[in-house]
Amino acid sequence: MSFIIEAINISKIYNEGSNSQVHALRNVSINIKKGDFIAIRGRSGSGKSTLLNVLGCLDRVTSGKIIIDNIDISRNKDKKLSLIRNKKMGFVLQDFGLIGGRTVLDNVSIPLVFGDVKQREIKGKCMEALKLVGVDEFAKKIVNQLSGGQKQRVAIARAIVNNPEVILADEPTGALDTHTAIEILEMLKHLNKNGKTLIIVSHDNIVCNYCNRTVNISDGSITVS
Amino acid sequence: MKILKLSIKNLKERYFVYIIIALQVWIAVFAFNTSLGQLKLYTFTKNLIANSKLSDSVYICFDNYDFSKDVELYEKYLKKLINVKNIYHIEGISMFFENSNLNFDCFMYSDGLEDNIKYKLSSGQWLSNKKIVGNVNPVIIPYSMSYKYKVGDKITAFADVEKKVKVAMEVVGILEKPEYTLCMNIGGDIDLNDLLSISENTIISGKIKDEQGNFIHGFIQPGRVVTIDNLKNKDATVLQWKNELNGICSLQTIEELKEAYDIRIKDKVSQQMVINFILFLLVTAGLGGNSLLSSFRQIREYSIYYMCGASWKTCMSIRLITDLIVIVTPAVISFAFLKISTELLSKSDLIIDINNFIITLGLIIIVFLISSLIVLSRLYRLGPISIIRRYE
Repeated sequence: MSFIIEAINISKIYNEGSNSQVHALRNVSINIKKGDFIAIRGRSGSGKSTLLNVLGCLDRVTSGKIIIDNIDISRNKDKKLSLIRNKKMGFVLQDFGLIGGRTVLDNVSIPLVFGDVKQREIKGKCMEALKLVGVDEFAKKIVNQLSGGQKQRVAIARAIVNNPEVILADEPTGALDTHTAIEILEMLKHLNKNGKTLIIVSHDNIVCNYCNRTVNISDGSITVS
Repeated sequence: MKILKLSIKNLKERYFVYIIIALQVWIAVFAFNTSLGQLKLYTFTKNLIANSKLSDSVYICFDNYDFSKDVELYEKYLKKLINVKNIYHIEGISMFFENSNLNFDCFMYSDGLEDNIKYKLSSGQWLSNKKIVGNVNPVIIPYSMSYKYKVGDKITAFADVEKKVKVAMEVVGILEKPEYTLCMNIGGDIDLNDLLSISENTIISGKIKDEQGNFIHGFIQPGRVVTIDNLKNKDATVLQWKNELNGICSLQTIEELKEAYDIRIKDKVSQQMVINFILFLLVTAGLGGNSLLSSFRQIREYSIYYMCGASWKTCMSIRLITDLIVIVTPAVISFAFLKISTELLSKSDLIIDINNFIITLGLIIIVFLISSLIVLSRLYRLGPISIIRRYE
């Protein structure tokens, strides 16, 4: 069985050694196969966002191992982690994570700017991604002028522009109405059908219904997988 | 290159904030350089006096009469003064360049005076080593004229407005910066800034002959009489002179001048210095605050960059380059403005130099670095996703 991400006994402690020490993850182990569509569910403060952070190479674990594509990245330096984020990961956030004052094209091009994509190829790749999520007509619009659903589509376009294997989404429908939320979930499902691995953090049952596997997390430990 | 592009994009997007920051940098550089410039002037003048050959000198200062209104009386007293042994003086005359209407001052030092006051030269030789040959007068030019003349060049000028009295001069030396001319002011208010005033448009010579071989006499301004005498019994001489010149003028020793300097100039300079320094501190504090606010506004942007594949180093580089553009550009313009304005004002009280500028720039950069580090450490501590949520 080929796993794209393996987390083995990972723990994450914030402010380690101090009085305000917080045990965000406790000996968590999780394997994610290529093409999985996983929901990580839990209450606020349960550690689900921390898990997403460490699986997405945005943060380091205090102990344990994280293996991505058979390479242990737990002790990797910042530069190597940034490369992994750039090439293998795409992020979709509840608040969209877009730069409001810039154009859609500018926002979608960010991962390409930090990758080794040639300047002349950037626009073409962005337009391709925007077309895929159906907002190519807004390419030159300022992000702040778009609706919530359109913004989330732009965020998805940015997540897929570099053709990553894994898309990590943190409450991707949290700021949307039900109708738009379903549209976005359908889009994510479509991406999954096309081979992308999706990890979604959410406490919404509708989201979980779209996923083929749900991981429950409570007090930093996985309770049901 | 991509980092530079992102920095410029950032600058364009927040141009208003950066204009305010640039303005603050401008004021900070101006205030701190002015402050340091005054400090430098104070120490420079103090050292100049301390190391001067004039330490045994007695200065004669007219302080009882307004000689500018009564030339005859002035001439009378001057004759009396000149009769006093070992009086040296400087005669001043305004001259005109041969081929233009531009004029310059020529200070003619009395015999022997030039041996006592040897200014530092950037090139050439001092006057005492040169004599008038064939009515060509050896002169020392100020540094500001060195772009036009070099040692060995001839200058033809007229000693009168009608341009009838022609004078031929040869440059034998060029003063090293900063130029200064020994002179004194009338009125007892002895100001060492005037005593050692910086003059950029003054040629120094000994006695001057015109083309016909006649000596030219300049005007001995009341404040420009100087005595230099290695007196064996200074106090007795001072007393004798005081009796002789009773009611005409006062006598002051170098110690008294120094004292006057310490009381008047030090207070004046230090007051200005403190005001400017406080202004610098206030502006720099504001600058730090603005930089911090501006960084906090951008923290979300850095989080997005980080999430999309930028490393910490890249985020810091973007911040650093943005800061450097915002700091260095107005700082250089401010310094250039300060430098040019002090160069244009020949009697400026300031000494502006590159070292002061580098110190100022260093301090401002440290303020910016601290504010950037505070912000980036927050990004590091909270993580990009939390930041994006909190700073929406």
